[in-house]
Amino acid sequence: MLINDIRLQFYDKIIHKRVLLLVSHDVDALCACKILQALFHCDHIQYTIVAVAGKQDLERAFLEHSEQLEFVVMINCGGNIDLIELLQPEENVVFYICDSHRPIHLNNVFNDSQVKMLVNSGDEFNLPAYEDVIRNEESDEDDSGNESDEPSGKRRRFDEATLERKMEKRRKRREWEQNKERIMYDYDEFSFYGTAASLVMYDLAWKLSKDTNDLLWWAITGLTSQLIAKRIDREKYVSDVTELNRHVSRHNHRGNEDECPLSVNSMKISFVPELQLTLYKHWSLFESLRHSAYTACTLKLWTLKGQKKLNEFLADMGLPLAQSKQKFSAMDVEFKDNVKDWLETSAKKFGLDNISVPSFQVQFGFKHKYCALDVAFAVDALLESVNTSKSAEERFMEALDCLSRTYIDKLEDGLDLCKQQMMGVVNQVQSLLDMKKVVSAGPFLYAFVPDGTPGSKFFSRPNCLMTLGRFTLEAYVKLYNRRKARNLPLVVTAPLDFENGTSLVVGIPPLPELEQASRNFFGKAFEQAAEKTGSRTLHDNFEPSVVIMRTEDRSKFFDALISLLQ
Amino acid sequence: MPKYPYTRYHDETQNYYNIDDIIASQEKVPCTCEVTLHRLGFLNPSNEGDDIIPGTKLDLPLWLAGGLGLHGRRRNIVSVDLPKVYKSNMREILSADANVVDMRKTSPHFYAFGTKLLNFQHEESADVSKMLLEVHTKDFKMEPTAIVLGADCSA
Amino acid sequence: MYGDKALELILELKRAAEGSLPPYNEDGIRQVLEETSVLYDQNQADVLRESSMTGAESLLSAVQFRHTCLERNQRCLLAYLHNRLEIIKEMRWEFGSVLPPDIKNNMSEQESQWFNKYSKSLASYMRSLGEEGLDLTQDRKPPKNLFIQVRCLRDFGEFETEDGSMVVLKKNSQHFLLRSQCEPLIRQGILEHILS
Repeated sequence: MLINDIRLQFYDKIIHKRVLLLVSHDVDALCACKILQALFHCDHIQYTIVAVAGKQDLERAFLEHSEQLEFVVMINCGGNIDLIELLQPEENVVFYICDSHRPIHLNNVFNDSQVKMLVNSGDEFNLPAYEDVIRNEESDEDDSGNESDEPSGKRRRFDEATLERKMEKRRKRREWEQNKERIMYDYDEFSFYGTAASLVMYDLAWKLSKDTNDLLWWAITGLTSQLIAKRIDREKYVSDVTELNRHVSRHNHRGNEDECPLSVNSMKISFVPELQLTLYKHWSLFESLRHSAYTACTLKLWTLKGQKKLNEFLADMGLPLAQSKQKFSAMDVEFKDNVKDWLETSAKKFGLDNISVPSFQVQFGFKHKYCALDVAFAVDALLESVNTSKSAEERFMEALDCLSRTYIDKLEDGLDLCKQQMMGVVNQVQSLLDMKKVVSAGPFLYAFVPDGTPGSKFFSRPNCLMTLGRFTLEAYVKLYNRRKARNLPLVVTAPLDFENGTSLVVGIPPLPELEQASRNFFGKAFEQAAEKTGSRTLHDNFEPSVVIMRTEDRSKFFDALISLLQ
Repeated sequence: MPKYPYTRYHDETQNYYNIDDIIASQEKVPCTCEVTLHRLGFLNPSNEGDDIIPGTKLDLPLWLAGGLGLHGRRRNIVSVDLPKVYKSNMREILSADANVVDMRKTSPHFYAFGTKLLNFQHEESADVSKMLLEVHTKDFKMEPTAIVLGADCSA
Repeated sequence: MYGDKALELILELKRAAEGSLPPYNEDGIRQVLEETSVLYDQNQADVLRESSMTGAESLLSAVQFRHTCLERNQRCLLAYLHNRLEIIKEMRWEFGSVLPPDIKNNMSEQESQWFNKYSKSLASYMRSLGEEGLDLTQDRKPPKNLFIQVRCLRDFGEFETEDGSMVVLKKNSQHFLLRSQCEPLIRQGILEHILS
């Protein structure tokens, strides 16, 4: 059941109750979780948070923690799977699901008693009609009941009529089934993302009049993480940003700056157009230009020519090379102040029209200043850290911590981790291109990250592998500029666990679709390919286009995928 | 802190057991001897005789000066002068801009000590009290990070 | 100079870390007492001489001088002892009726006795409160929040809360629970308090 009035139908129901919070491993979920926690703290709602990385985790966490609990809140998980089927809950358990994964599983939509989907009222779902997909079982039962009741003698007399009626019914039923299949196919074909969970939660906070700058910043971070993971298109992003900006100006209007100077522990958020350059404020401009997908792919930095172009670009900006390689924070003040304007002007000449996006930055007291893009990157890096001594849950908790102001040094760690990741990604893209390892299989491109390369450990994490995939696809398309390649999707695999012989597989939709809402058909395709060939795959991730596979089954899986997509 | 001290004590009744108050009252004040102090000559190293003769300048701790200078019954044994930081030229500096003076160095117990000095009913006492108030007001208004006067909170 | 030794005792207290008890300076106290009795004797002698002399007011000034010093010593000694007792009193509230041996070693015999008496008085007072007594040493500052965020550091299993519901404390799960219930588990290292 979809719920629009979240306050009335969700919050008022769970107030003063104990709640189990199941949170998936992504930045948006973390931010939404932080917002919800803050609300729960206000109202003394006791909760238990458990991090869930996939469906198996979800099942386990539910079994372990659900005793005596009636209310389960899920953030960015559970929406696109049949929950009742998977978890077999007691009848008094109610699931509240705030999940940006689309499409929502229809059984969740049409379950009125136990599954409540918290959604943004502005979203469109294109839901099929109830009677088109769920058959009213009663009419069937009536039918069979009548049959047995009728005495056998009479039955023969009406035989013809009954038969006709039955045939008619059967035909109708077949029609209905076909229709349902078609509708379901249309509904399920693409996986994509809706409004960020953190925005939905922030909206709730606002309606409860409990929104603060902290909560707002988490909502911003959640939204920004959707942009950098290309989960939503630019248009949706801009409209959500506009919405948030109203809250930002409401919370951050101050009189004359000189009259009320910032106090040490104040927090200020401001709206700024921000360059889409990875961590440039915490890196050097040169490195950042090299490690950002947009600039690296457009300038084709993989070639010697591209590298010269980068130098040209810097020269055009009027920025000395030495300065650009300097840590950004240590650059000359004159350059630092103007670099944004110069870069934007020069970018247009080099075909980088979309270099800046509307975004926000935050200032904690006097010292710390971060922009939303960098924070989203850093939190994601902490989540996907490849430090082997930390379990997935520990990474989750660390990422959760780094969002609060008390643990700001953890955020700094995240920034460093992010740099390492991005360097790993760029090196991998370079080597895939150099070795011509991006191969066309006909209906799609594929690339294998070879085992044992120095950076390969980074790609055992789904988000990082997806970043690599998007980066590689964009680089490939822009580098070779073949018309055919432009509309091809990409499948990337990377070794996950060498000893068990498993690989991680992700599917990246073709560039034009990636630009528009990231509609991804690989979820269904992977499922079917695995089914057909009996490949040993694990569709555990909440994102259906991420699959774990036995490495030895790879070739037959790919064969099936080729024939499927042809 | 207990309100009712055990011994007779003129002022500071509230602070009899207060450690900071005891330490503050150890600051020296310039005094001039008014009468002969028999067989206490050793107090003044430059003194040669057994006694301290009238007119001798002595730097005495505040508590001692208080005991001798506020000797109510007859005339005072010593007369108490203002320490340098409270004198008129310093007062001018402080009233111009109190923030530039590092009080921690010149007088760590500026306020507590100053307040105690007022007991001596010096001719400049009124001015001193006015200055203490002024400086403290300025001090208080400043950002906490920039305070140099903040060392002394006992005032 | 008179009074310097007494001041040394006070400075000793001042220099000690907040809430800690420096060793009882028996030697220092003895020296101050000696100085004081010397001052007293001299004063006695001068007063006697004064009464036998005539018209000499000047001796009295010296008496006054010494008397001030004497009073100063008295003040310092009393303040020294008094402030130590304050610290010891505070320790009763913080550590309970049994003090760690290193603190005990820093106390004089009389201070030890005083502590025991104080401890007994406090205990019997707390027993007399309410029906079954009330431990006043708990919750001395009003807690800012009834509930706190905690994270589970190792598997503990089921934990029954005061209202009878079960919470499963499993490694790396995070909970929002009543502070009073968590405190023992935090001390045992099963839960970690998370700041928001």
